[in-house]
Amino acid sequence: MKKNFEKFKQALYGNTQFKVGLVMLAILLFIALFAGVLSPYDPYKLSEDLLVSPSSSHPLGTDNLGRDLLSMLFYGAKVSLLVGTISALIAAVIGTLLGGVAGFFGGKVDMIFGGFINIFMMMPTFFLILIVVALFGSGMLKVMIVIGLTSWVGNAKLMRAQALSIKERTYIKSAESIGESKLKILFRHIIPNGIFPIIANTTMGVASAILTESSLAFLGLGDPNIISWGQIIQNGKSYLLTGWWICVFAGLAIIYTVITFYLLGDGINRILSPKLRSR
Amino acid sequence: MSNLKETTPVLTCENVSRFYRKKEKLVKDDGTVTRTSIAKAVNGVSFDLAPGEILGVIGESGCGKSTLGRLIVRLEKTSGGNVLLQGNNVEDLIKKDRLGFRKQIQMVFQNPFDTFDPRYTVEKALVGTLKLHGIGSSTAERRDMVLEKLNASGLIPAKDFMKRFPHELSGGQLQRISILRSMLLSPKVLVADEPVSMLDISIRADIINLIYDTARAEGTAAVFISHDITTTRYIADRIAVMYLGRIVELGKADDIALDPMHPYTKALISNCSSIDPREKREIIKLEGEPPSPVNIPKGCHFAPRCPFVKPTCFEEEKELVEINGRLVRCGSAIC
Repeated sequence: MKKNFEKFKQALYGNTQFKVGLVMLAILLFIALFAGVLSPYDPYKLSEDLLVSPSSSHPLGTDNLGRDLLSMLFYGAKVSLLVGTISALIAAVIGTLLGGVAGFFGGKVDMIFGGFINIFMMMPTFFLILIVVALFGSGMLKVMIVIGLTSWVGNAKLMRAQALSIKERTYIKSAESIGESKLKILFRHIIPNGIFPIIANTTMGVASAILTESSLAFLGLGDPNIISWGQIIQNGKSYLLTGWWICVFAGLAIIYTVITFYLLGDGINRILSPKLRSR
Repeated sequence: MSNLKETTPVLTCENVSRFYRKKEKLVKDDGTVTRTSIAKAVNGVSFDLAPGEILGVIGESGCGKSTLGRLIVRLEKTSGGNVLLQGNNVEDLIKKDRLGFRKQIQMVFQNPFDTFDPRYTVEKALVGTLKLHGIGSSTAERRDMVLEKLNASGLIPAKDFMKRFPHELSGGQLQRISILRSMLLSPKVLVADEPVSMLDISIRADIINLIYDTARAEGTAAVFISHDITTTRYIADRIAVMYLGRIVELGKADDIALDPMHPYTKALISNCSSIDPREKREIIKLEGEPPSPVNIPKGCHFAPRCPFVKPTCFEEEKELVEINGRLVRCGSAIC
C-alpha cells in the first residue's frame, strides 16, 4: 500500500496538468466559498452607475443595471461549480450502473442496455435539454438533474468496456466459484476495479456541464433568480459595443473553469492509466 | 478402479459436452450466408470420481481439460450431458441452493496472481469467504480460524500475511492461500486447474504436496488438471488422458505412466524426461499441430498424427473399451 502511494505521489509530481489544474481549482474554490467576503459590492444591488467601464471603484466595470461585474462573477462561480459537480456526479452514477450491468451480464441484458446506451448516444442531447427545460421550467435543481440525465453516455460506454474486460479476469471467476452472487460481484469487484476511467471522465464532465449550464442561461433558459455566468453573457450581448467588458470577463471566467477541469481530468487520466503515464 | 466401485461416486460426469458456436457471415456473390461453426471443446466425457480419490486429467493445450474443469464447478453450462454431485444434477443443485452447491465444489485456478481481487487484503478475502458461507459466529472467531490455517500451511507470521495485498505476495504464497481458501469450506470436490504451471519449479512440489495432504486429510476428492505427466502421476490415483475434447485413455496412474496403450498416451509418455539417464527410451515424435476443435473431420481424432495409423482409422472412431481395468479408446497399439 505504501509502495503504491509512493508511486502515486511520484506520478502526481511529474504531472504538470494535474498540478496546474489543482492550483486553478483551489483558486476557484476559494472564490466560490468566500464570494460574500471577497465581493466589493452586493451583486444583486442595482446602482446608478450604468455600464461603467473597468475602473478603480469597479475593477471589471458594471452592467446595464449598474451591478458590479466582479461581484457577479464571484457569485456566479458558486453556481457554476455546484451545477457542474452535481450534474457530473449524477451522470457518473447513472453511467456506471447502466454500463456495468450491460457489460457484466452480457447477452440479452447487454443487447437491451447497450442498445439503450447507443440510442442515447445518437440523441442531440442539448436540444433534449432545451425541450425538457422549456416544458418543466428552469430551476437550478431541475437544470442540474436534466444535465446529469443526459450526459451519462460516455461514462456508460467506458464502464461497459471495463466490465467486459474485468469479468474475464480470474478473480471474478474465483469470486463466482467461491459462491458470491452476481450483484455482489458487480458492486464489490467489477465497479470498484473499473471505476478509474470514470473518475477521469467525470472530472471532464464537470467542465462540459458548466458549459451546458452557461449555454442554457445564455439562451434565457437558466434559473432567472440566480446569477450565473451564462446569464451575464446573455445580458451583456446587447451591449457588446458599448460595454464589451461584460461578455469578455464572464466568458473568460467560463473558459478558466472549463480549462481547470479539463486539466484535472486529463491529469487524473494520466496518473491512473499506466499507458499514458510513460509519455 | 474395481476396489472403488462399491462406494457411490461423489462426482459423476455423464457424456459431458461443451460446444462453442460461432456464427460467421460469408459474403457470396448471391448474397450473404451465415455459417455456424462449432468448436467441440469437450465432447462426451464420462467418468466417476470416488470420495477422496484424486483424478489427474492430462493433455496438450487446447484439448479441453480446463473447460472440463470449469464445467465441473459450473462456471460454464454444459451443452450436453450431466454433471452429478453425489447423484444430484448440478444444474438442479445450483438452482435450489447456490451457496450450498458452491461450498461443495471448489476450484483452484491456474493464475494465482489474478485469483484475488487486487484491492482485497488476504484477511478480507479469507474472512469474507467464511462470512459468506456462515462459518464461524463472529469476525473474531473467523479471524482466528484463518490465522490458524495460515500458520498451519507455513505462511508465518500469519498476522503479517493477513494484512498484505495480493501484489505483495509471491505466486507460491498466493497459490497456497488460494488452496487454503478453497479448503476452508471443506468441499467434497476440489478442481485444481493447472495449479503449478505458473509457478517456479522450486515451489511446485510444495504446492502439490499441500493439495495432496489437505485433500487426503479432509477426504476431499480432487480433479487435478495438468499438462505435466510426472506431477500428475505423483499426485493422482487415476489419470484421464484427453485429446481434442475426448478421453482417450483412463486408468490407474501407474498403469498409464508405465504401460500406455493409446498411441497418443504413448507419444506423451515417451516425450517425458526421466530422472534416470540410462533408461532406454524411444521418443515418439508427433508430426504436425493438434487440429483445431472446429469442424473435426470424421474418424479417429488422432488419426492424422498417429504413428500407428491404419486406413480404417479415418472411417470411424472407436469407442472406449475396458482392457485390464482401464478404458482405452483405441486398440491399435495393443494388436
